[in-house]
Amino acid sequence: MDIKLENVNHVYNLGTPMAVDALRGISLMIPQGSYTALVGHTGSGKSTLLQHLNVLLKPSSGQVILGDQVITAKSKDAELKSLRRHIGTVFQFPEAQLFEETIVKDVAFGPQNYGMHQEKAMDLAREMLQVVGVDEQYFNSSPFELSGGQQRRVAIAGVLALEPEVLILDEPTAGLDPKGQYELMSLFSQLHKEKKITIILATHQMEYVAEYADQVAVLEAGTLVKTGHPREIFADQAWLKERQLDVPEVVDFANQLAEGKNWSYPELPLTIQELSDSIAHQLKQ
Amino acid sequence: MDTIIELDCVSFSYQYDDTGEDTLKEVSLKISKGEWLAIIGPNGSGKSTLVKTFNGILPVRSGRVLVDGEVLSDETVWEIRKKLGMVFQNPENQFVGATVGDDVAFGLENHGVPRDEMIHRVEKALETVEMKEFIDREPSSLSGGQKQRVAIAGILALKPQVLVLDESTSMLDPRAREEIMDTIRYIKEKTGMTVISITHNIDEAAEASRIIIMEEGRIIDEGDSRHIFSKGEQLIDLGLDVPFAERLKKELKVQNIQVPDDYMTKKELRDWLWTLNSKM
Repeated sequence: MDIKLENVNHVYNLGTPMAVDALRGISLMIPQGSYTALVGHTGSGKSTLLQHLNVLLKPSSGQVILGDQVITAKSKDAELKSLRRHIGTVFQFPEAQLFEETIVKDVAFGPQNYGMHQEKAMDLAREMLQVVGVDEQYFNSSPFELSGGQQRRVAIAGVLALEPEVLILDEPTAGLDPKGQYELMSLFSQLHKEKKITIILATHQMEYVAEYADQVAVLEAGTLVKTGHPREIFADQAWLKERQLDVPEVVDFANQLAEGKNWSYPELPLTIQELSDSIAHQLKQ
Repeated sequence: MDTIIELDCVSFSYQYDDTGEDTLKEVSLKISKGEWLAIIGPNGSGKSTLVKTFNGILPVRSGRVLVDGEVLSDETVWEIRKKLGMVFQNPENQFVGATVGDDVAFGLENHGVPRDEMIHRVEKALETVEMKEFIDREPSSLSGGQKQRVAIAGILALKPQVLVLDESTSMLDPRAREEIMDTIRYIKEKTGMTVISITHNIDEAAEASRIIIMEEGRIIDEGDSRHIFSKGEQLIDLGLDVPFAERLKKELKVQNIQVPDDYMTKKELRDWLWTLNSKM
């Protein structure tokens, strides 16, 4: 499904003295099968925006269009439940939500909750645990006996067991060591490529944006200030710096090199490979 | 230099650990006064366990712990705990007061510090972490980075000699992480406090004057960042990232560019590439 936001506003505590404008006039198109990154500081509205995409929040005004369903302030909650099943969300620190006796049961809980037969749900759970790389020997362990990184995989398997078309990731690698971070980001990339799942990632890590995203949306104080391909967004380091946002190390290094004599790039490198290619090209000239 | 913490052949095992293997295996270590020590290693290698033996949160099974020249024992543990302050990973789990000021005062109240002295110390500590104007605020109105700074202030108010940071920035966004690092640098400069940080962050490890690597309950290597970072790809298994310049060098070698094998910082690599370019 394509996802479209049209002039979405969201006000928390609407109509009270504590009202806060969290989103203002957001219009954004997220095509099916795309990989969209949301960037911006803590408090810029990333999480509020994500909660509109998985219909945990309704817009105060404007509309959110998920496939052929239009969601406005007036939409009834009952209409929204079936939509949520197609949109999986990995919240920050999702391992905090594990609760079952065994990890298989925990992963099977979601599908069963949507009416899947127990045995089938358990089979699906085993399959998803394999997808996320949890070893079979742990399937009947308590989730609380696993390491933090393993627990996170179990929680993600629980989301995947609902077989979502869209996967929303809110800072999914926070608190993991670099190895765990690499493994998890590769897993999402694989799901994106092989299962054609649409991915929407809120992150502070610009390396991920450069490496994986085909679209970036920059949020500032509840407003969408820029949308584009990572190459466009990162080309303007000064603009990002004004907003105290980083560029990936690759871009920063490329820009530093370009300050030297006789350096130029045909196009801004985004990954280490691209950077190394363009350095080699430069040196051969 | 004077030694502030000394571990002499320390072993430790969690009682409920049914593998029967020690989490710390005969670890010996000396930490000097005023040092900034980073501890790295994969998950489960014993890093957090190690620092928790310093002040007796975890009593060692064998070996000796000395802090500021005193052997850690039932008699000395309370005095020793005053000398070491610890900040943990999750800012949400460390807030005990109803306001920022109360939170910082909590430790002082526990130690029976007189009221006038307490007010003075709370204000001073909050000033150091640049949170003084938040003194009457509730914790729920603070960001993660601000909460961690309050946690640090709570420790500074107790005037410890050692500040232990156990992955204290790992749950924070880059800006908040940088704020914490600025705070630590400032404290270090102003008080010369000993800093011990457990981290998976390469920039944070680079700040340290010495890095030790733990694996399976042992210290397997130590040295300055130049020595440790030269391990390249191996660092991934040790719970750190590979430094950017090392990753780029590896790719450049694939392109048949003969980069030096020695560890280089980003700036050194940039200068080297400039020089190479000008010779072409």
